[in-house]
Amino acid sequence: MNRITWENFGTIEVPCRDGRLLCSPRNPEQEARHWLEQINLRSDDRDIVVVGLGAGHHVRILAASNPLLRVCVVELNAELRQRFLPPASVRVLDPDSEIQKIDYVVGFRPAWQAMEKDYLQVYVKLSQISRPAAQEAAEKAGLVLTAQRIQSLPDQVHFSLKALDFLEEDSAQQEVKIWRCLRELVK
Amino acid sequence: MKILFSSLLRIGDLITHWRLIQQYRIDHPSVEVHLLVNDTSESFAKYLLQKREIAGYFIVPRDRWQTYLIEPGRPPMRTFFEFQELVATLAAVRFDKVYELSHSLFAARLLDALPIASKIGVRYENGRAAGLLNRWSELLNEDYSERASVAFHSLHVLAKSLDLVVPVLAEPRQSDDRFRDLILLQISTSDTKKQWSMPRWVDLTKRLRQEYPTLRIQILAAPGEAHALRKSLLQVSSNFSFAEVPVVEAGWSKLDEMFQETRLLISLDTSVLHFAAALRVPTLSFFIGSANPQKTAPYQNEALILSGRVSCSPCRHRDPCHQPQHLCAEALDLREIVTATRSLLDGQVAAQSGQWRVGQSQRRALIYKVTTQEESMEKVSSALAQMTWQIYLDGADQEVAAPVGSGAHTFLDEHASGLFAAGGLSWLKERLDASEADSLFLEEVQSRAVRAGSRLVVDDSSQADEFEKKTQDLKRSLNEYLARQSTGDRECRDFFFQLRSALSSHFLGFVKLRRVTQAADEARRLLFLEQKFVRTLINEITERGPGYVAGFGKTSHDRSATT
Repeated sequence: MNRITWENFGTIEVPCRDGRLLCSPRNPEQEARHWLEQINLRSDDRDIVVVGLGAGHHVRILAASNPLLRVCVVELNAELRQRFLPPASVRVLDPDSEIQKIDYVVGFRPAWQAMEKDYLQVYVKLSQISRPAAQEAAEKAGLVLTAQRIQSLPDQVHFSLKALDFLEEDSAQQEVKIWRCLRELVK
Repeated sequence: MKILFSSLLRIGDLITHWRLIQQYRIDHPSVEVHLLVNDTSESFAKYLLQKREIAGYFIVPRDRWQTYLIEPGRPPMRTFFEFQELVATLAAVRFDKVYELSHSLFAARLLDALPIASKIGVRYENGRAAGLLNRWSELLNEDYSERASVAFHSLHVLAKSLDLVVPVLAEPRQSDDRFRDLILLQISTSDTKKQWSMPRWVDLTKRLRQEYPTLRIQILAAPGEAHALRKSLLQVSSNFSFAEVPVVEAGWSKLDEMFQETRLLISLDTSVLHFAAALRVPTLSFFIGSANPQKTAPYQNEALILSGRVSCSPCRHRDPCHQPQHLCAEALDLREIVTATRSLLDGQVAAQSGQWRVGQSQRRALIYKVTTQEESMEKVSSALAQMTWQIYLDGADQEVAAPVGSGAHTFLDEHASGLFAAGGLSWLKERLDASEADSLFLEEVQSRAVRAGSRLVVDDSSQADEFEKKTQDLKRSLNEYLARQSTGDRECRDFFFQLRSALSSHFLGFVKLRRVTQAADEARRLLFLEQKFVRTLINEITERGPGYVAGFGKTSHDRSATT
């Protein structure tokens, strides 16, 4: 189904998916600002991917927070895309060049309503785009990285290098040295 | 010749390290010096480049790498590629040598990955720890941060551990210079534990306005920080006059210019303080929280430091404050600060009890605390302890002729008047008695430890437990002994520190026995050296007799000129 409807709350029109609201009906601006405070944006971030468009308040506020940001939105629903994003801006991300440049992938959970699993899948794929690559590179360098078991709960699905156990460390290659050094940053 | 200095700590540390680099450039004028620094320190590296103090610098985006590695939604692999790029860039420069000044695990690992032929400093080599050159580097590596009793500035220990020349202590400009009419206040620091409360800063500002109406007073702010600082000041005092006391934003170059007009900087333990000290601006600083005057005082002669006299101060850098209130900050008294300001600006008042002073011994920093005793005694006592440590850490005690005699001459040249004021021969004899009593006690502790350890058997946990009980008894005995012997100068000559630490360590059995034995051996050597040194001083004074005593306060150069 995943049908998009529009609900009126006084002056505010809120998109709903299967009857579930995709942003706050009372104060979506405040919700967006609160979301922006929660994400850990760095001053040197440039390429940001937001998963979930909803009514777009959070995207507008994010883009306004730093004029140097290049914000890319991933939205699964075509109707929302057509309503809020200029047609020329909608395209497929190039996994080899654009995705590798991403500084930060953030999700806007209210916009995932009624399709959480699908949005989560996209978010995980994008946010961990270079994590398997990191694992592979370290393995080639003689380090075995074993991720702790990934929990099924959405909040715990993201793992970082902090959760990786480093075993076998007897190789003397340059790559091993680099990984050993980087590991000091996550202790 | 191209040399790389790696300074990957905070910006204040880089500024302190700069002194060492300056000294290196003086000793090696033809070398090309480059820096490897964190992105947070880039502004200062830029300043050094502008001043032509360095030929170039390289950035480690440590903070960003950390974020990319830890946070979900970030690209960790990019850190690896950027690291590779950095290594390739450094390799292309073809450095002849790298000095590692940071002394952190990250920096030590980074050095392992750098393709530079000559690497100096504690580091990893193919994954194994290396680079411990001498006792100084062992001290720096093992317990310097915890060892309150070793009266050496961190820069001194670092330089010695790298076998570099210890930089000469900066001499402050004359604070009563009429051409300089500016008092600067650095009232904020990024470390909340080191902050002093805003209402107190406002009170101090008002008091300084009253006391010094002809001098200009300005509050310093980092670029982009002034608005927030003004807001905080207005929250405390709604009628705060920015016309009288402006808040001025200043980067490093502007600070450099402002310091030309500055008569005094009053500051917390900040990078600005260390910068001022390096540029010879007289400083009064407040060391609060984990700020430890003995280790990181401004590297400047006659610098004056105030710290809260509470038992938990200084605390460990990484731990949060455990007290219900910020006791060490509250213990700083406004009257005491005003008195200290007067002493620096007008030279009116002598050092007050509780102040830390930076003096010098052999043109190196000698940091000592003024307690209830005479300042001269504090200074001479610290200098004697420092001299003993110096001979031990230099490894000179293992030489056939330890440089005790020449050390005694230097000591008398520099500290004769202080020694005379402290009581001269009788003070030295008391010190010798105390040291000999310490040796006797140490022998007893050592033999008890060895007896207890002799029963240790491999794989017998009951014997290990028994040994552990005995070491606890020994620790109690040692603490009781030290409490009984407690005197003012005990603080600066605590040769039992390592032993106390070994007895309290979590190691068990043979490992603990080895550590206790090594620590007791260190204490024994230090006490032996101290006694030898004090005896030499006594002999020197006695043999020369009244003639020498009459010459107290004169240098050997003066004496040779008169004879």
